[in-house]
Amino acid sequence: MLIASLCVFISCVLLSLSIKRHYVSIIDPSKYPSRLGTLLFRICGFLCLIYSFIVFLGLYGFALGLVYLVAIFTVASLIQTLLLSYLANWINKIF
Amino acid sequence: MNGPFRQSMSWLHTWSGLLLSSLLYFIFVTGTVGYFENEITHWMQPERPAVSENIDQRNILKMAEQHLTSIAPDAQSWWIEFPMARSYSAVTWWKEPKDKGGKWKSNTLDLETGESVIIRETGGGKTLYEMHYLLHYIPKSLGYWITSLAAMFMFIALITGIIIHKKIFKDFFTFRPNKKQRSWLDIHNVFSVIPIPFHLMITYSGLLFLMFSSMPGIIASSYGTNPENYNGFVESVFHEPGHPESNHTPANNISISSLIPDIESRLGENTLHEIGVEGRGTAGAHIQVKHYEHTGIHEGRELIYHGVTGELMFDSTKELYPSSASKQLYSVLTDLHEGNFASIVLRWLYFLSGLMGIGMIATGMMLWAIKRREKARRTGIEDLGLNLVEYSNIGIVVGLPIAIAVYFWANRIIPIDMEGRKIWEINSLFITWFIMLIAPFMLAKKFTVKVIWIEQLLLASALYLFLPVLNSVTSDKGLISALYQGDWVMAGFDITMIVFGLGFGYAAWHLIKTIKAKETKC
Repeated sequence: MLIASLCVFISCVLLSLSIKRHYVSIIDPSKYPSRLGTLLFRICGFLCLIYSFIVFLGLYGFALGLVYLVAIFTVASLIQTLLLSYLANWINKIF
Repeated sequence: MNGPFRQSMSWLHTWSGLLLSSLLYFIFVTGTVGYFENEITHWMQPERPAVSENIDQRNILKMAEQHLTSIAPDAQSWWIEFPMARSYSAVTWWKEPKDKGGKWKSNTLDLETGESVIIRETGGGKTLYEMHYLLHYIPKSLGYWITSLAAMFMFIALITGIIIHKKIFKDFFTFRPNKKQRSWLDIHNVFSVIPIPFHLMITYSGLLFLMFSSMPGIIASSYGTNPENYNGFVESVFHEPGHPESNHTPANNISISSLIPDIESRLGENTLHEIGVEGRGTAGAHIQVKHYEHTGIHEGRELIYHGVTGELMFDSTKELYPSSASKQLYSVLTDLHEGNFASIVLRWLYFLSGLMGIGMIATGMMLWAIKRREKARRTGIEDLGLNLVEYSNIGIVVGLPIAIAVYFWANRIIPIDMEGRKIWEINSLFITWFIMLIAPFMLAKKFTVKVIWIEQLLLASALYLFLPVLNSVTSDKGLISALYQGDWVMAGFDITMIVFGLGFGYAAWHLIKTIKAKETKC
């Protein structure tokens, strides 16, 4: 379950990087991501999400597995939103 | 409602959200708190005896049967609740015969002595939870109607909100702090969009729960308007196959304990949640057994035995929902709404989603006022409606949590033996909320809106932060001793209260900081 939850968090990171606004604030403030880069982030993000869904499905069955996926995705998205709002500048400073 | 489609939807979103926002806020707060209904009740009855981890259900059953035989020999129904999963005590329930009032009564048992324990009368978490669909001080049916109407408004607000949100994907994960109105809109979107599956599920399933009250015409068209015919509808739709028909002919019943070997061979040892007898002393008596673990999102395995012959009549694993697609959909959605299946982790996630729902409604209410305040500043025209919303927002958004804190304080302060203490606990909640609602209007001449916000936030913070102190003074299950005894429910409640207190305190401190920053600028 921990690995699947981690995958949901990673998918949130990848999906946020596929959005121009967040890519600019985290990776490179000087230029927008290429179309291929955006697509790659998006595909990897969704693949992680699908992988976690399969794990939850195996662990808890369809209904409960889906509930877990949605619930953990909600928390992961909220944390990701807060990190992007308050820590993006710090990350830029560090790297 | 002229103009392009999206503009019309925006209008509908604003007004469907705002009109019943205070009621929706109340429903969301009490409903969210309801996810920890049992845990709240456990905290509100500190006299409940501690239960050891190694329980023997055979012994508890024996004790409970003896107890029920001595105090309720002629009861129509008996139920025994075991201290398993989210039940924290062994409780016996019985329904008195009709000539004695036909009411349900209960006792909590001390597992060491087998005697009932005197515990304080309280509304507990159940009353808070029930408020989210029954409201309070009004007839049940009216409560159903009003909450149903509010759920409909909420559903409209959600759908129109999705339609008007142009950049729903581009703005995902986006919150821009310190940007005034923009920040409020962002946080409203964060609280709305991220848990949107939860919001849609909880609202739609809420409507389904109440559809029999809000749309009685559909049932009446097939079954008639007579209340007895309505019972016929319930019987034909919700009657599970294998459940015995009622038969009031007097008959001798077998004891529950005699079934234990068969129950344990099917469900295993120490796995029961509840066991009960319905229709005692009649030929239609049956013994219901409920397993503590849920089957997916549905209730746990259930067995039904004939109360006279002891024959197994129903096993839910063999006949789990052998019904129509619509009834299955109804079961899935209503089970999802209640979340009874949720483990402790999932329950916290439900709670968090509920908090985000509360945040969504609160920020929506604030956003309406902030937008209009900006406009009023630009045009210089003071709006009476705007003032009304600005001041009532304080009493609603912070006033309700204050009132709930007072409900918990009242539980500890009202004397244990006071007549009607349960009613006064609830009265204290509503009296406090009323005071918090009118206070901003009374203070309006002396203080600015922000100062009144700070006052109520500080009051909320103090009430929540000192609640664990009050608990340790008035019971022997304070935070430290609960941690020492490993009573995580008591300790968890106190810690959660501290977190809420700190949250309100932080909000007050942030507002004070903003005011000071403005003053230095001037």
